[in-house]
Amino acid sequence: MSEKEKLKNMDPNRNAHEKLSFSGISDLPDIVISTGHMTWNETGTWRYMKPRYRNLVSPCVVGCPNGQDVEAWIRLISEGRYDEALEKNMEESPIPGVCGRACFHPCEKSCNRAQFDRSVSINNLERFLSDHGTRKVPKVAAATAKSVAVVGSGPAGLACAYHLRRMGHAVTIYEAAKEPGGVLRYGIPDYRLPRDMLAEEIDVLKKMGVEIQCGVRVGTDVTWKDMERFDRVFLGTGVHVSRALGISGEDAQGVMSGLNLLKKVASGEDVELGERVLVIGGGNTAIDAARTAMRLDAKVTILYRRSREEMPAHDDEVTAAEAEGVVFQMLAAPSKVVTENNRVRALECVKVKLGQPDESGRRRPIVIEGSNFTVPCDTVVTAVGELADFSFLPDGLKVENGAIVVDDSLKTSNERYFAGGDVVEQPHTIVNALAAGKRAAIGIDCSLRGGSFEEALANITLATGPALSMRQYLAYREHKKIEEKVPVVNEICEYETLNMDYFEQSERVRKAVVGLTERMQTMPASAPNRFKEVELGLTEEQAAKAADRCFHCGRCIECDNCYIFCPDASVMPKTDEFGYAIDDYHCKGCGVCVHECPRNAMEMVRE
Amino acid sequence: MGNHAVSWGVLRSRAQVIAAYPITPQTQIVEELSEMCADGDLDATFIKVESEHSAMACCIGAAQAGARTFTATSAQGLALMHELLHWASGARLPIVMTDVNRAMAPGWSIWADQLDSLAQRDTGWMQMYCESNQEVFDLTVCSYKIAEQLDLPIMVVYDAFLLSHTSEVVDITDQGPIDDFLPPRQAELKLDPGKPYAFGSLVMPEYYYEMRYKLQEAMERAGGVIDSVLEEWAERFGRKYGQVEGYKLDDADIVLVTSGTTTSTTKYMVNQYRERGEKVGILKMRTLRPFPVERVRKELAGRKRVLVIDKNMSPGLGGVWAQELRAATAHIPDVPPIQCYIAGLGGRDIRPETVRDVIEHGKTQESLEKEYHWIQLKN
Ligand SMILES: Cc1cc2nc3c(=O)[nH]c(=O)nc-3n(C[C@H](O)[C@H](O)[C@H](O)COP(=O)(O)OP(=O)(O)OC[C@H]3O[C@@H](n4cnc5c(N)ncnc54)[C@H](O)[C@@H]3O)c2cc1C
Repeated sequence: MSEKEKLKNMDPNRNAHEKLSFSGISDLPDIVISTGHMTWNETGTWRYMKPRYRNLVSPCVVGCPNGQDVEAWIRLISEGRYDEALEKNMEESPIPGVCGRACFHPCEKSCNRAQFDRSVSINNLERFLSDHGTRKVPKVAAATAKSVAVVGSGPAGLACAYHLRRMGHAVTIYEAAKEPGGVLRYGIPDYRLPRDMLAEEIDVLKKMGVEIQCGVRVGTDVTWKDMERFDRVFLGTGVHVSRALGISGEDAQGVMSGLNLLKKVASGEDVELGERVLVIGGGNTAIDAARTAMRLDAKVTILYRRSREEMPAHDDEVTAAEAEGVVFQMLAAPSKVVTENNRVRALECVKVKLGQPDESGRRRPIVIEGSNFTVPCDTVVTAVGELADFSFLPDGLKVENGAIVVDDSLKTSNERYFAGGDVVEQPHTIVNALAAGKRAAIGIDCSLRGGSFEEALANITLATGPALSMRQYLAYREHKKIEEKVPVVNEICEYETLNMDYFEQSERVRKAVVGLTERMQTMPASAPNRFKEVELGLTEEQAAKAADRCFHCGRCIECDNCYIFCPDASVMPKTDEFGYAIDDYHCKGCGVCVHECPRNAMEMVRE
Repeated sequence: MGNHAVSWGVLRSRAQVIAAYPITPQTQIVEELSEMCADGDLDATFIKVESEHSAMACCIGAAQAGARTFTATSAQGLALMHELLHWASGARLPIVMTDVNRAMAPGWSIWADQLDSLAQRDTGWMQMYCESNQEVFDLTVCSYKIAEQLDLPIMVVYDAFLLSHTSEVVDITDQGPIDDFLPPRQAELKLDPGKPYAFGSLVMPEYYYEMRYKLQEAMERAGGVIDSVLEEWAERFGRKYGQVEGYKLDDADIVLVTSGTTTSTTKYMVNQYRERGEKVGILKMRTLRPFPVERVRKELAGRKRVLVIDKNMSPGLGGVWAQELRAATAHIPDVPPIQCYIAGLGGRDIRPETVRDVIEHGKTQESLEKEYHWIQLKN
């Protein structure tokens, strides 16, 4: 047999190190081919750097003050696993249905996609999972023999109670109002936040064994002394005193606060507004009061002393109000309530121009002398800010600038008392209240167990913080390590590190709203459903589309790119578990897999 | 269009892996092929790549694994492939590639001239030039058979726009007869995880020389293989081609040597001269490699004039076809001086008048006074 023939029939197990010798051209193969198998050539020895899988923190997760693992539940939604998505969400919050409707969703601002086209519709997806997932009552740890009183059942109180209960502590909520929920129940109107939905979410807490005592005002109905039977007390009492206008005639009949109006409507009381309603202010209370008044058949004008840009109310809300027919009178301030027989007749106003920015960063309104004008009206609704009433607080609790003073663990000057939500110095939003409830629960748990809050923080702070992970805390407090599918590096995944070759621009998914005509038809007081929810949830199809737009920043989703691109067949999908295995014997460390990872879930490390 | 004729040729040839990067005037070829793949008409893997270099690399990998492969390019794209063109031939891979002749930049041009493909003369690829869209279709299919018999890569070449974007009636032969003509590729030695051999690795001086000998030996066989495949094609489908083709050549005193679409214009002019009784004919060149040395020696001997129309310019010496013909016929008695006319660069039209000027000028040239002549140069 010639050497050429030998080569053709060669035993593939022959080691190519053994030399063949060819007599000449008749003997040589036509192509350059090794003279035996090459399995001895483990190209992994050429490598000096090695790829590895590691997850980062998606920016939405830290963009959420409450540290929602947004990316994780979006992925579950896109896999159609709605129950698990809801469960994932509820690892950090008891009220996904509330947040999916009323949260101002700062997460969407930090969404990397916002730098590409428009952010993922995270808020809508949160509502979707709360609408489509089956609520499961979270696990409650074994009883700890410690008890905590939570004063106030707004989002701060609910979150604090929820998390403490999960840790096994006995929790009692005291709520002055008839029903729990705080602003969620008596402030934000039904057409934005349906009450039965809220009740359903609060029901979960009850099922977990949280005791809720409504109609009990602490400091009045029960004393602070009574509170001593609890190991710790959390104050989540919010801010409920409407700031006065400070103009004459303010006490006349027909002047009422926005909070009061909303509360009355939410309590089912009749309110007589008359035909023309003037709402003063530019915040959420003003907008909610105005849209509520529209639904009570009034003609509504909002008077605001700055311009639309400076309005603290959420932009979507302002737009909705405009659409519903609320008139905006910008750059005007009230100067006097004109009365007749101690009843409102009109409001005298002055025109205002904007000067240099003040300490809030907004331009300061300056009154234009002699620009007075009068607006006739039947009701004036004031909504120029809320203040806390601290007269009920136990003695000696330190208060500064209208807020209870707290440390990093939200402990007050009295170490048995913790406080959070609107009652401390923080942005007045639902999600910040939730985050405070969580932080206080951790602070309280640490103090009850004599553990170090700082050490806990170091273990559970998401990337740069300040958002904390309750999922991680629950493991940490039991000295457990979470076995992540992919090891996590606690850093934010930045936009620049994504491989944009793999993403196409796409339209942001919008939720549907009840059409204006239908909305307006429901508005006359005679209409049966005048406070019907305005925004509709996403359909399954829309949700899939919205979820599909997620980049999954810094998280491996088994997209197979590394597997496809590896030129050495050294990246192989694991058959029995998540992810891929890298064949160290043959990976040359070229880094193609890392480069082609669309979402920066891989990196090269020196060996 | 010529480009569609290629796509259909590749479809009929049942290519299995197609990798390409878009470049005008080639793009339509692979656009159409990608649709054929997407629609399921062609059962091939279509690989989108980031450069022509990668396109050729994909074809090399796939061909090494035994697949029938295809890619297409033009001008700078072909130049970017250069390194891998050597690899493809050295590895003896029967890759088929279309090159739509386009002038090299700068000046930026998308129009026809032949320098891009002629500059790849020494890469070990066979090259065939086409005159019509029917030729484009037929030669694409034939190329697979030729390449696979020799384990050598082949380029099918034609002029930008003059063919690529010009519609002509093309007979697209049915699949069945083509399947009979062109059976699936059978690679003897190929990438196989079951037999983990390495390909293209180090060869010591001890054998490199012999390996090159074998490459050249394949090229020497190529002429015969091309002839027999083209003959078989003619027998089966009635369309006859050769490595060189004559037009009114037998008794011609003045022979114009042409390639590609220039031939058609020249035929028109030749007819006019014939009407006047002047013995003018054409030698149409189809293959650049292997170069049909014997054929041209035979056809050019005993003529009065040989006038080569070169739609290309190798700076520093002149037209490439003329150089090749001179080399092939050097010291062959009876072959007149080979006159070289540079024409049609960068898509400049070669019009009947251009050909006429070449003929009239050529008549006056007894000896080789100049290596090349510019024709209709704007002074
Ligand atoms: C009209 C309005 C609309 C808003 N809209 C939005 C919105 O769309 N999105 C958003 O993110 N934020 C919104 N906000 C802000 C947000 O609602 C608050 O920041 C948030 O509710 C604060 O939560 P909290 O738990 O601190 O207090 P609260 O929600 O105010 O709850 C405090 C609770 O404590 C109870 N309480 C007080 N004192 C006692 C006591 N002594 N004993 C027992 N109970 C007591 C109160 O009755 C109340 O139920 C809105 C606020 C208002 C007023």
